[in-house]
Amino acid sequence: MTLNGFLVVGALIFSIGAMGVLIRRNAIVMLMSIELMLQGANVTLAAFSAYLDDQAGFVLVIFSLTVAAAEVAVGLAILVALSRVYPVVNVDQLDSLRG
Amino acid sequence: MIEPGDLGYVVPELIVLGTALTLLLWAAITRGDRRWMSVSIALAGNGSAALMLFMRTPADGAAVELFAGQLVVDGYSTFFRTLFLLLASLAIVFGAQRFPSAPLIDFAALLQFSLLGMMLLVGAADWATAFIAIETMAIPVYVLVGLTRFRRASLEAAMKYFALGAFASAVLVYGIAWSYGLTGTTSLAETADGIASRGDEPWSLFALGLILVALGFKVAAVPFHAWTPDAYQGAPTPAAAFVSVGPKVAAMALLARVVTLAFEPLAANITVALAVIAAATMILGNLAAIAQSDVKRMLGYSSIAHTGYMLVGVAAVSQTDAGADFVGVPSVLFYGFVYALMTFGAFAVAYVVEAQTDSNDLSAFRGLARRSMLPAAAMAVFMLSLTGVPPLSGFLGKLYILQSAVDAGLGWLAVTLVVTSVVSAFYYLRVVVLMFMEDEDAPAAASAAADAPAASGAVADAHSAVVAVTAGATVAFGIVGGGLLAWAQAAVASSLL
Repeated sequence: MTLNGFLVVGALIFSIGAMGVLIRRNAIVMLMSIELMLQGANVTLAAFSAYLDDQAGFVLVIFSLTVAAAEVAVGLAILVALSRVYPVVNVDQLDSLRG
Repeated sequence: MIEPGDLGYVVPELIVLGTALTLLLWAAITRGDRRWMSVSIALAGNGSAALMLFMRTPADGAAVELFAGQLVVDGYSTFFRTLFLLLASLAIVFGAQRFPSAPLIDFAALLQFSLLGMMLLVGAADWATAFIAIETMAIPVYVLVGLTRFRRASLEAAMKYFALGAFASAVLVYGIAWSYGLTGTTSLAETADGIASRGDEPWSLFALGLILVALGFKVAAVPFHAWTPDAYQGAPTPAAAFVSVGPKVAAMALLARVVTLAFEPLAANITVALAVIAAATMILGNLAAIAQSDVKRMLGYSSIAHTGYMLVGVAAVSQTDAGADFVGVPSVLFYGFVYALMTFGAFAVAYVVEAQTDSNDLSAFRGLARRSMLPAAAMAVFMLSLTGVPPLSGFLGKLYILQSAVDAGLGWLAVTLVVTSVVSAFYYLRVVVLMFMEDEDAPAAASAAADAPAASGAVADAHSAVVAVTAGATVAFGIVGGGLLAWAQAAVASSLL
């Protein structure tokens, strides 16, 4: 596959993730969608890195995977703590903060 | 290349990391009241880090590249690192007032980790460092917002902040991927060469747009601001105070470095984009703040408005024959510094009222001047300074930003800034009027006196010191702001920009 093929796949995965965050209201699905966005970005990075024959992009992919793992751990922890206080599935239920 | 001597320049960061790890270890191996120890460890660490910061600053003020161009130590990063060490120290003292022993040590450790991320972020010279640093800064902050984990509002705020923060991070990585693909480098300085050779072709603008959106979330610019009021209202007040100033100013510092360094060839496009965002941010932030009845929520919208003022400074670019000249960056540094101190102080006073009345509602400020004069006087200073009344530091900050906007030919943006500042007087001065000119409701006063938690003397004194330091600095920088501006100008001149 050419560079363009990988870039299109990366863009598709990223867009599907972004749509998921913006449209779906289930908190777990939102977390999964954010992961999809990051993986779309990683595919793009890896594709460019291979195309440019340069290591920097691959290194950045490793960093971004690690950071994504740390980030989602915190996100799930917040969600678990939240569902102990208040059982929540749908983010529209998060409405106690209002102006 | 990587030299062993490079480590010498990051001693302040290493000390901050050391205190964070010490605090975690201390939390694991000790029992009982650890409040005193948490505060001592954090303050001692930050104090010695600040000392090392000034001892290790290169004598000639020149920028030093470290770790194969990943990090840079220059006047720009030293300016912000000084501010962040000060803010984190104030925040830990503030936290000691709010939290009992066990959460406090977590609060202190998370604060130090976030501080480490902020200190690295302002020195980032490569996208890899910038990304890791921005996450090191942001991830502990999500936890700080949700630290009171038995309060629904706090966790809800953390969840919203996390979801949008993680979304922004994903957008940032995607933007970095495109910037890397177009230029073949992750170094900020070399990115500029790659972008320059491409000109303003659509893909360069696409990469720039993604990065601006991601940083727009982090600094809470309209239309990416929605998380801000919720996060501040739900967060425990010391965490809200820190979040509203630290990560926001750090992200603004990165934004200024990115647009002036990596995307400098696209300065003309950046000016237009940032000017429009700045205008929308100032208008929406100030108008929405008027309608708020919760003081933390009001400060949330107020912080959005102040993001707009700072963005005006970043957008102020004058085109010269030699290329783009970012005339507004020193005024952004100045504004970031004074904004951080006055907003932090306002949250500190909001906590004084919260401790007295168990409420963050604006009506709780009614008659504060009769109950406790000093916090009321300090709050008046913060509110007037946030409005931009001379001779306070907020006035000078706005003045410098206005000057650079006019120099850059952005007259309409300068007018927007002035008009929205006048609008902001409505909600800032309302607090002053409530505190000084109205009597408190009699029943509320009685119950407040009965319920007021008896904070131990030393802690309460320390909290008063936080209020006094921020109020004193807000007044002092208004009178002798020239020195701070000169430092900001020197910082920008000696930087990698």
